Amino acid sequence: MFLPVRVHLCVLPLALVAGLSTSHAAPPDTASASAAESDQAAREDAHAHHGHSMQDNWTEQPLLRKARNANRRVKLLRVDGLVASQLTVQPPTEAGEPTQTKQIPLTDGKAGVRVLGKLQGGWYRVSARADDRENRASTLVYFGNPGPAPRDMLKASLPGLDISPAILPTEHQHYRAGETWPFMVRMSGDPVANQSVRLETSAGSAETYISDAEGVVHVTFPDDFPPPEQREKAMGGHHHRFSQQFVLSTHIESDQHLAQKASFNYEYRPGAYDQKSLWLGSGFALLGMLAAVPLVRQRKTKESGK
Amino acid sequence: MKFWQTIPLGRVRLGVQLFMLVFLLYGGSILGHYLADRVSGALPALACAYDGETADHCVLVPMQHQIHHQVGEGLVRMQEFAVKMVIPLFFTLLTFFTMFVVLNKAFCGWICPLGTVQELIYRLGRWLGRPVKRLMPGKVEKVRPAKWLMLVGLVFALPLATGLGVAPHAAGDAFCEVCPSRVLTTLATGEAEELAVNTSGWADLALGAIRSFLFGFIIIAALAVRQPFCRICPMLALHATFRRLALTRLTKKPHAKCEKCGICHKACPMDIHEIWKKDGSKAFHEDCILCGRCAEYCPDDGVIAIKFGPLAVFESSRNYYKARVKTEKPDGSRAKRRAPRREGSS
Repeated sequence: MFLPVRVHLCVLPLALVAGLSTSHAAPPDTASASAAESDQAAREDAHAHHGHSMQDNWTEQPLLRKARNANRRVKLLRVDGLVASQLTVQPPTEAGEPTQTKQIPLTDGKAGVRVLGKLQGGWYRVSARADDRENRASTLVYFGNPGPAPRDMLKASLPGLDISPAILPTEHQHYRAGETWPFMVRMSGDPVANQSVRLETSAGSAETYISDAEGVVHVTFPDDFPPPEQREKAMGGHHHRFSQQFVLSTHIESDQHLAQKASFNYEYRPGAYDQKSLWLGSGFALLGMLAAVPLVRQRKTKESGK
Repeated sequence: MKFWQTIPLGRVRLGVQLFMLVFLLYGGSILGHYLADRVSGALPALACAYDGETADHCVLVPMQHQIHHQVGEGLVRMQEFAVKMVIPLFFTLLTFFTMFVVLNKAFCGWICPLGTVQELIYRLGRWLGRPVKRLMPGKVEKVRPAKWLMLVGLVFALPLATGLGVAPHAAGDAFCEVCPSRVLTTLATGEAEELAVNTSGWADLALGAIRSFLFGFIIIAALAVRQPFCRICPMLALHATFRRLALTRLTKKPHAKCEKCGICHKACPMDIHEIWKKDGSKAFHEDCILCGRCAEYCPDDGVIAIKFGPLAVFESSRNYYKARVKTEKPDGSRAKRRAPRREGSS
C-alpha cells in the first residue's frame, strides 16, 4: 500500500548521483582555480555588477570581496584592508567526516575559490589571516550544486578569535533587512560571552551588539536601502537582487591570544515586503475567489426552486 | 478478499498525502534547517523553493533557472556550448526523469501538496453541501491543451526569452511567478510574503496579480470542481511526456459490461472519460494522476489495476467496490446510510 513512499526512498541514491552531477565535467579535486579560470572570473567580474550594489571604502574593517556571477565553478575573492599571503577554504562536509581545509595562495591580494570534488556545492567558508596573525577576515561563498549541510563546517572554529554565522540561509533564502540572524564569537573554539560585536553596512548604518553566555549575538539587518529609483540607477537598470554589504567585527584586548581582531562580511537584501503590496495581492486573491463563486452556487432546479 | 483489499485504497492514499503534506511543508522546521537543500539534492521535484522551511524544492525552479541562465544567456555568449548549456540541462532533466520513471503520475495523486489541499477543499465542499461541477466530454477537451501551453510557454519559452534578453527579468521563472502553490505553501507556514504582489515593474505586477488571482480562484473553485489547478499544471504535462516509460502506471482490460457502466468516469477527479470508453494504453490518459479511484470504483474483478512494473499494486474487485460505495459515492460525496429496517414495517 505504501509502495509510492518506498519507491520514493529507493530512488534516493540513484537520483542523488544524478543530482550531484548537475553540470559540467568533473573538475580536479582542488579548491584553487587555474590561472585561466581566475582570469575569466576576473573578466566576468568586471562585467558583472548586475544584481549588486558595489560601494568601496565604507568600512575600516578588512573585507573579502567577491566577484559577481563569476561562474558556477569558480568564485574570485579579493582581500581588502589586510596583508595576507593565502586564503583558507572550509567546504561543507558530510556528517562525521573531517573538515577538509584548503589553503590557496593569494596573488596581488586575489584568489579563485573553486568548487571541490564532484561539484560539491553549498556554502564554503573562506578566511584570510593577516601575516602578523593579529587580524582575520572571513566570508562565505555559495555554489549552487547540491552539497552537504554546513553544520559541521560552522561548528569548526578557526584558531584565535573568530566570528561566524551560527546558521545559514538555505539556497533560496537570503539575509534580509528586518530579519534577525545569530552569529557566534569564539576564541580557539570556545564561546566568548559579553563580547562587543559591531555591525556596519555599506549604506552607512552601524550598530553594536553584545554576545550572550553561549557567545551568540543576534544581529538585525537594518532597512537602510536607497529608494528603488536610486537602486535602478546604481545598477544600470537591473534592480533585481539588489544587495548591500555588511561586516561584523570584534576585537579582544588581551596579550594571551594570537588573533585579536576578527571580522565577517557578506551581503543582505531588501526586506520581505520591499516593493511589494500585500493589499494588492489580497485584492487579486479576493477577485479570484469572487470569480469562482458561480461554480459553488447551488443551481435551483424546478423541484428545489419552487 | 486479499489483505490489501481490507483497507480502502483511498484511506491509504489520504494518509500518504497528509504525511507528505506535513513533511514537505514543515519538514525543515521539524527535521532541521538545512533539510530542504539536502532532500532537493536528491529529489528536486517536490515542494516550493520560496518557502524557507519546506523539506524540498520543486523541480520546475532549477529547470527554469537552467533555461534562463544556462541556455538563454549561454546562447547569447555562444561559448562552450556543450559544457555550459546542454550538459547542465541534460542532468537536470535526467534527475527529474529518474524520479518520474519510478513515480511518474503517482507524484500528482499521492505527493503533491497543492493536489492534496485541493482534495481536502473538495471534501469540505461535500461537507458543506456544495454542488459537484464536472467537465463532461466535449468540454474537458477544451481545457486539456492549457497544461501544454503552461509547460511550453511558462517553463520553457519565457525563461529562454529572458535569458536571450528579450523578455523582462520577472519572466525568468515565469511559472513560479504564477504558481498558486507558492502562495499556499508559504501561507501554510505563516508567511504572507508570496501573496503580496511585486510592484517594481509591470511584468512583476502582472505575474503577481495572476498568481494571487489563481490562488483565490482555486481555493473557492475546489469546493465544487475536483482538482481545478491540476488540469492546467505543467507538471501534469511533464509527467504525461514520460508516462509510457513509467514503472507506476494504470492498466485496463476490455470488459463487456464497461459500455453501460461508466462508474470509473464518475469517480475520476480529472473527468477522464477515456478510462470508461477506452482500454489498454489509451485508458492511461495524459491527465491521469494515478489516484486509483477508477480502480476502486470499478465493480468488476481485475478490469482496472495500478501496476508497478509487473506487480499489480491494486486491482478492481467487486467485493471491494461494494464495501467502498457504502462509505463514499464515486463523485466523492458521502454515501447516505440506510436506516435500519424496523420489524413489521412494510
